[in-house]
Amino acid sequence: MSSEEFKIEKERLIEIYVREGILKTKSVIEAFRRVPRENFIPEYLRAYAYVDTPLPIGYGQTISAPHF
Amino acid sequence: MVCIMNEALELEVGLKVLEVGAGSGYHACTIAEIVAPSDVPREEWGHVWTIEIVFELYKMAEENVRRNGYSDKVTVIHGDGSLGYSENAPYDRILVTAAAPEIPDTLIEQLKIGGLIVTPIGAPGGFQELVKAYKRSNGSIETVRLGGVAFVPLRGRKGWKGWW
Repeated sequence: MSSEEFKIEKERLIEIYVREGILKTKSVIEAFRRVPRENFIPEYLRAYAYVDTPLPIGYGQTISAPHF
Repeated sequence: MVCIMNEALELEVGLKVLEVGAGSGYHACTIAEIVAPSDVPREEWGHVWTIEIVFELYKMAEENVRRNGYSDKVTVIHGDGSLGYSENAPYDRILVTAAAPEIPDTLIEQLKIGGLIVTPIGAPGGFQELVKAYKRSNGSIETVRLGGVAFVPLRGRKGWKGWW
């Protein structure tokens, strides 16, 4: 997945979160936009970076889903 | 979870934040974007300290923070975060990214008057609720419940027994 594709998926998530009232504050939205979640996820799971689900990061721990 | 927790934390530029449970380091970096944005002079920046009890994850988080350019805004520490991190206390905000039996008193102690803590409370695999608690000027704690959640259990001295 290219960084451009990640960007499109992320904007789609932001749109949903704003519509559902999960994201409200400009600075919180901007922070979610700026940090590349894909860089914090194991290589083999990167395609799921902007799917709204928790992902394993090893050692029995997870990175939470973006909203929950 | 970053979206809901970051909204609940009432973050602003300049705040000192403690995160208990660094995990991948991702959440700490999103907080750094709010308390220490690059378009604000460095003197006005806040800072994020994040503690991780699992050594391998601590190494991973530190590497992720460095690789993504947040080293001057986020400090990753290896240790028992259920005891907080007294070295830089008190904090304006504290967040816990694992479910505790109750709000650890050590964390309340390390919170500034007027500060707030956001933490999931509840049993491993059982009912858990996200709680937001303000520390008022007389030292009392005012809690607000934010709804059901599912987190990994908090480990360490103030965490769940059997989850060390």
